[in-house]
Amino acid sequence: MQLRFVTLIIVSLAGNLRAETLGEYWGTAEEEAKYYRIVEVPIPEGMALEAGSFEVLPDNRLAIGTRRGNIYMVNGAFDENPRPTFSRWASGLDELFGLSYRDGAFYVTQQTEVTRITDTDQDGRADQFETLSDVWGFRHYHEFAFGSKLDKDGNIWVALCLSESYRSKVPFRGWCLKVTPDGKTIPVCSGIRSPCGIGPNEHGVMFYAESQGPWNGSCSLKVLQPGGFMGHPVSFNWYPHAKELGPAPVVPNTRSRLEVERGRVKELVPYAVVFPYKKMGRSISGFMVDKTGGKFGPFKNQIFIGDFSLSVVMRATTEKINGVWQGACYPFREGLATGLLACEFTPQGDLLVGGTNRGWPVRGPRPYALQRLDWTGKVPFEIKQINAMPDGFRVTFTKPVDPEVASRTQSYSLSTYTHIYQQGYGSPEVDHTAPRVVQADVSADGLQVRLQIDGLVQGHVHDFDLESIRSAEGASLVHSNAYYTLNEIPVP
Amino acid sequence: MQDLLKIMLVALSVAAVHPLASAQSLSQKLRAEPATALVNAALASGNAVRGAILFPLQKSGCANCHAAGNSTLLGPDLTRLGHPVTNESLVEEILEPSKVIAKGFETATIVTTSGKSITGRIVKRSASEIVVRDTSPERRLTTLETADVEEIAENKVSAMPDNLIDQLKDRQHFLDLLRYVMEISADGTTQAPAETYSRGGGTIRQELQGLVLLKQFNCAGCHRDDVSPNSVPVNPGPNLTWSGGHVNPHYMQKFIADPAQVKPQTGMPDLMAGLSDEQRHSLALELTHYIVSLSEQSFRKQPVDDEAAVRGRELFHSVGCVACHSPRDDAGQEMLSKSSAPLGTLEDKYGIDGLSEFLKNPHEVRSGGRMPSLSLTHWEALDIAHYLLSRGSEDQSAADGSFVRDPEVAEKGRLHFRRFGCATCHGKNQNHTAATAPPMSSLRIDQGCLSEDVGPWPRFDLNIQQRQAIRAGLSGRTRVLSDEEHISVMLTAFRCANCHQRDELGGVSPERNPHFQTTNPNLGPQGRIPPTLTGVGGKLNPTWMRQVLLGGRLTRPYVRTRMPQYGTESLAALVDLFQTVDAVPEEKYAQFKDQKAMRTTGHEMVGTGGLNCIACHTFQLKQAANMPAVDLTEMSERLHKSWFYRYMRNPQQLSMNTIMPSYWPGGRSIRRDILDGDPDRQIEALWQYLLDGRQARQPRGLIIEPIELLATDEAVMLRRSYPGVGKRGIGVGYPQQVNIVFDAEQLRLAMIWQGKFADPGGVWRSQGHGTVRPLSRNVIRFAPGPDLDDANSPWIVDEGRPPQHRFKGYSLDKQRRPIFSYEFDDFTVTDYFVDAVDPKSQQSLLRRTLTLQSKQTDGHVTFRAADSEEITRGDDGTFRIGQTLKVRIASDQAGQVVDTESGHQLHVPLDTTETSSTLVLEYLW
Repeated sequence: MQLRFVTLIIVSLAGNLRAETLGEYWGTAEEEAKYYRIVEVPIPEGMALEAGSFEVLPDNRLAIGTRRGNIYMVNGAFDENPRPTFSRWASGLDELFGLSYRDGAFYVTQQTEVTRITDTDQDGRADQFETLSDVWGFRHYHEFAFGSKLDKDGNIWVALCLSESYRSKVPFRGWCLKVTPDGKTIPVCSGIRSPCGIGPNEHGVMFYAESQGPWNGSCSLKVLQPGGFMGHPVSFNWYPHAKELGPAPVVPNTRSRLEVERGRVKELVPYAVVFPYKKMGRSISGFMVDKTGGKFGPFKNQIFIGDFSLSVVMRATTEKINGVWQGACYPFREGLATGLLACEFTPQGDLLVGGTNRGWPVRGPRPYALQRLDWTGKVPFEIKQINAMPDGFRVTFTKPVDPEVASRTQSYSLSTYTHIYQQGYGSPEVDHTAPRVVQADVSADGLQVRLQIDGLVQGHVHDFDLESIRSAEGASLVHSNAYYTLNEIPVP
Repeated sequence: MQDLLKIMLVALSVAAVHPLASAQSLSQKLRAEPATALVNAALASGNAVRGAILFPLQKSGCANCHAAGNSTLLGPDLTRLGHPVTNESLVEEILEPSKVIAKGFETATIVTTSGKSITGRIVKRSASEIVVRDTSPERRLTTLETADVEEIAENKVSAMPDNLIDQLKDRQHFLDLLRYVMEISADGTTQAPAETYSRGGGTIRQELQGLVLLKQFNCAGCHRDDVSPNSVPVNPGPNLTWSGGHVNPHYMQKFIADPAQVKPQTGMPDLMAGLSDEQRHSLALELTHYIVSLSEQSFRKQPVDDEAAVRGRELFHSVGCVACHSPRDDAGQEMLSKSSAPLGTLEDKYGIDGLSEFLKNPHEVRSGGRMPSLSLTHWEALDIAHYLLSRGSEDQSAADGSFVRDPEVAEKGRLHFRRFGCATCHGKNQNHTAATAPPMSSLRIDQGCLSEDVGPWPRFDLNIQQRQAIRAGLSGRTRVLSDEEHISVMLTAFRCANCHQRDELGGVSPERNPHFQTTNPNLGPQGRIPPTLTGVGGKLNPTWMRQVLLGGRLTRPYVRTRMPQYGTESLAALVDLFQTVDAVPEEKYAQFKDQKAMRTTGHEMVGTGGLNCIACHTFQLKQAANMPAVDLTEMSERLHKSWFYRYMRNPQQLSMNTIMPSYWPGGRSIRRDILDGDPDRQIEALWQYLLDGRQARQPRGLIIEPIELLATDEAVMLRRSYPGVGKRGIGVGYPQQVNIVFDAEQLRLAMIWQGKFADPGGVWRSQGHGTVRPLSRNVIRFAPGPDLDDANSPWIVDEGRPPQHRFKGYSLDKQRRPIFSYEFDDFTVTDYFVDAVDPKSQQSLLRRTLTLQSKQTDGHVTFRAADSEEITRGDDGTFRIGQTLKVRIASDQAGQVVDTESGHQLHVPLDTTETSSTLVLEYLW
């Protein structure tokens, strides 16, 4: 019975995906390459390195956790011209989507559990595997578990995928749980669908990457707010096991709008950064904040996030407005070789990415790849960041703009839309509006433009097209699009 | 499906297998049968698709000489045999090729006046020349002047060997092949292809050549280019800031003093005409000081690593360097220096680091793109540098490259630099040169730089042909190039034509041909010769072409010569030019209503049950059995649909070298059972399938390498789903070839077997929705529920998680064998399996040691050691579990056989009055 059901789901999922093409390239790879070079980190011949998680050790080695359940130690992956050596430190584990190291021990999240792993005899291979928590149910292969790195209190946050897209059949599927250093497991929030990355945002607040599907019109970065509800109500059945969170929330209405249901369901946390489908990935995945202090170029303290389907890396920024998290996402680099699952900054300030193209459609052709994005030292002309203002937005650029062009209101093309908040799979973009830029003030240094806008729409993605903008040197933007999710308009 | 794969794999190895088969060869046996019988058998049971795949395989070798739609090969074009063809005559021609040789396909041996002898087929004969396609594996075309021919002797024997058929596996394969040949030659009157192949090898007209040289020598630096300003991007001189830190100053000085002497054919002119050697020397020294001062780096030499040089030699002669530069013999001497781009004395010029840096990223130094990047890795660039510098410098002054900077001398040099106008070519911004000299259209073409006189002008090392070409180019006077001319000028300027042929222009020259190599000889010439550019704009989508030209995207990993990169904008214009010039009208495409149904049909056609494209084509980087032909998942991204239609109908017509069989010979499908045999709808179905690109469903017949996890000298372990065990299974394979699955959710021994461990394919492929499969048919499974439980309450027998049990992890012993640890109620339990050999039976066994520790000491717990439909107690104290397994209690507890609903269980009540107790069980076969 169980088996038959599984088969049905696979068929229907595959059917769903095949109906769509992978979407167009941004067409920017050639230009991107001038600023961020893709460096191959060679994998030994025959090694099926399906990287699912990374960690950098204090001794400058790289640790890689894989879907096939190995932890590899890598020497030399950070060298300018890498010719790394790999050694297998642990094996036999189950889909490693969380890898964190502290004081001689790894804290890994695998499908089954959070485990503390050590090498007690110091022979270079792990020999002690302590189960810290396996309280969640696990009865279906798609019940993936994504674990954060240790937070400042030593906790691992685990985002638990639903049983399939539409069910939560065993305990805490669709929840985030927090596992403390002594193995205590605390429910954090409900409503998750299918996570593919978890970690702090640039302000240290725990976020996760959600995929398009039921109750999720598009992929998004969401804040794992304790007591909150992440949008997919099928996991409400576990509230009786999470007494400290009180009763289950009101069930949202389907075929509604998130902005509307926010009013009805007080626990519903608005999706902080929506990644419009296909334009900005199709399955956003692991993300990291650039803490390199500028070694990776002009985007320090921003979020870098991969995409599994389109093999691209994107950027995101977040801010808390009226107590609610929101922000924007920006294209960054396309043309990676495989489906990206995880990323990590190296001590040298390069961004390491890896993954696999197994199981779902992926643009990158290779079954596995380990690649690095190295900043060439040249600053690209990019939209660095967009912030919400009471009457519009502030757009920050990486280089001074041509003030004449940038102060023309017609240099900015804006549209807004949202998604249907529904039980069905995904959503088209709906409720389009076209706000008008009424004034554009360029800062004295040419790096910022204050846009006064007539027609901001709360709850909508604000889709920016700055094709016309030029730098002071006359260059076009490397990427002229950015997408701001306006959950809240700042109070003046 | 598997059968066919097997057959094809066997087909690849027939030569090795066959001699053992029988005394009489296949061809002998077949010749003994009446032709009619073979024809009838082929009609009844010959598989044309299988024949189509056998046809181009290297072993059968048909496609080496025959093709459909190409008349210049060694053998007749089978679609136009040009004489009455019956199926019976085909049998005869295949089995006894020399009996009747097709008119025009006799081979001849030609002896030249110089005594050279060539055997081959005369494909063209005129009053002045004879063109011969020889019988070498390369099937080279040779053109001989009639005057040079001493003798032509016609051969009586066909070039096709009598026993070729013996390469096939068996009679069935012959019938398959015969059936296919019958299909392609069915009407023998297929119309001649509209395009016939040009032999290539041509060059552009002199005046166009002149335009190429005008740009190559950057004439527009001084003369405003009003002749043909946009024909080709200019070629500025090297970036001297880089050179200052990477070129040996001693070399630099000599070179500046007399450029053509140091490096013949250099683009650097002599600016010091009329000065004495001494003056030249001192000026050059000052200039060198200035150039060195531009860089913060200093030139350094590094020792040559001989091993790296060996690797570098191999790379130099395979990745594409020798498409333009001269190949070198064992002694390092250039073999084709006359027709090659000169390298000069690199040993005197560079150190390893400098040269490898240049090779890795030539456009940083030479922005004109004439020296392309071959996408070398850092290490490959180093290897080539070691090779090119391996002879060492003979110039003593250049040997160590040390140089003491002198700012005062450098300042003098700076003034000369300005005076000579060096920045015209070496400046940062090439477009803002003074252009002081007369514009090109008003030049007197026999004077100044174009004369051989010495005067106050730069003196270039031009030969007579170059001078004449430049003169011709200048006389064109503001002419506008046609798009096709523009293309051919570009292809010449960037030497694309050294590798690619486009109509009459270019192509791999015979003397460089051996350096074009392949990773897979099964692909024939197309596996090593870069593709033709004839009609390429009608073939490739502009986006793809741009990615290939400018982004380094590749689709033919088997061609060892790499497609070079010329810098971002150098070749961009070619994309639009190709698209414009080569545009072909859209075909009339098949109409359909149900796209999904078409796609599904296309999916079937690609697989083994259809046209079996997957037998030869790569799918998503996964190589096919026979050869790594172009990846199916990139087809729709690369190709114009109209080209795909035309190519499918007649592959050789568009691609001379292809060994792709024709599946629609004469416009008829060889699979008339699919889509009513309608060629257009079949082609459309393929296209609809290919449109899915990377998302396309895996075709049937894609080879999947098996994965096996095996224990060798250590235990191997995998935590995943096993059949009948939830998702928290932990499989362990032990070196003594015994294996278990421990269920970490229910805390029980779930499975046990002897033999090899497991195939993880079910969880390591696709999304991972399957289970790990034990590699044994005799797996013993135990009932659900925990092994350790309270004796006083009913045993848990469901599949859920028992409420009182908590898995705590495991540690590994020195052989990587796990010691599982869990808690039950107040007990702390370890469960440890060790493999060993039973001294009595010499069979492997598993010894299981269970320890319990508890703070309380009054528990009533029972351990379930095994269960089965039948358990009996043996004379030797063991318990027989079912048919094959035995359990022996090796510690001092006593076992009990307990009845359950489904059979029996072996229980061991445990005395827990002590704080610690141990149970030892042995599982034996």
